Amino acid sequence: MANFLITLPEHDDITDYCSKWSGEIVKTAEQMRHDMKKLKGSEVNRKNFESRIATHTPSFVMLNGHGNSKEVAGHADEIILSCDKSISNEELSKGRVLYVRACGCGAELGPACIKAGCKSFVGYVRDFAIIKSKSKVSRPLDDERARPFLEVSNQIPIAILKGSTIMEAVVKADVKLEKEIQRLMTSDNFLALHLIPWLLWNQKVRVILGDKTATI
Amino acid sequence: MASETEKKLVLARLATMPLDLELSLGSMGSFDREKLIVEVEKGTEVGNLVIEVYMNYLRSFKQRVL
Repeated sequence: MANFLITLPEHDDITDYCSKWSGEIVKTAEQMRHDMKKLKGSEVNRKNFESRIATHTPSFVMLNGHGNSKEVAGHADEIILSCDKSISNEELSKGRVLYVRACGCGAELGPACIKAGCKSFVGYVRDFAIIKSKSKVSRPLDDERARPFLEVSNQIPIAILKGSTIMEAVVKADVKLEKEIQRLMTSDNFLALHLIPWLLWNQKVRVILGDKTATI
Repeated sequence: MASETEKKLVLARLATMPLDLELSLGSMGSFDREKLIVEVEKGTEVGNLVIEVYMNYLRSFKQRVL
C-alpha cells in the first residue's frame, strides 16, 4: 500500500475532462487499497497542495492541470508546483514519483524536480492535446472522441498504482495507443485522419525523467 | 518554418475535419475546424504546431506503410 495524491481541478473544459476521466485512476487506487488523498475543484490550490504533501507524504503524485515549461497549476490556474524563482517549490517532489498531465512541464520543471531528488517524473515537454466533441463538452465521459486521449494517458498512473515500474507503465500506455490507432484506422478514416496525429503527438512529447525502474 | 507545400497539404486535410471536432491545447484554448484553418493561414504559433503535428503523422504513416 502506498500513499497517493491526485489533483482534480475542473474550472474549464480541459481540466474538467482530465479530472472526470481520472475516475478510472481513482477506482484503481481504491481497488489496490492505496491510501489516496484527492484535491478536487477549488481545493486544488498551493496551500492545500503543500499541506497535503507535508502531512500525507505521498510516494506517488498525479497532477492534472494547465502548465508551462516551469509550472503546473490547479484551480483557476493558481500555480501549485513551480521551479520558477518566484515560487521554487520543486523540492516537494523529493523522494516521490510524479506523473504530470499538463502542457510543457517536462521541459524545465521535470529536470528541476529530478535535481531536487524526485525519483521519477513523467510529463510532457510541449502541449498535451485532446480532440473532443463540441456536442459532448457538458458530458465528458460520453465523449468517444476524447476517450482515447484520456485512456491512453491514464494507463501510466493505473499501471504505476498496480505495481509496475515507470518504464513498464509507459510501455503499457504505448500498447494501448497502438490498439487505439489500429481501431481508428479500421473503423473511420475521417476520424483517424484527425485523431491519430494528435495521439502520436502526445506520445512524441512525453518524457520519462529520473529512475525508469522505480515503483511506488 | 513550414513550407507553402506543407501548409497547403495541411489546409486540405483540415478541410475534411468533422465540424463537431475541437482540438484542445491546454491553456492555449480550443480550436474547431474554422479556427484551425485561420491559425494555419496566418502562420500563428498554433498554426505552425498544427502543421508540425500533421506532417509528423504523414511522415510516420509513410514509414509504417514502407
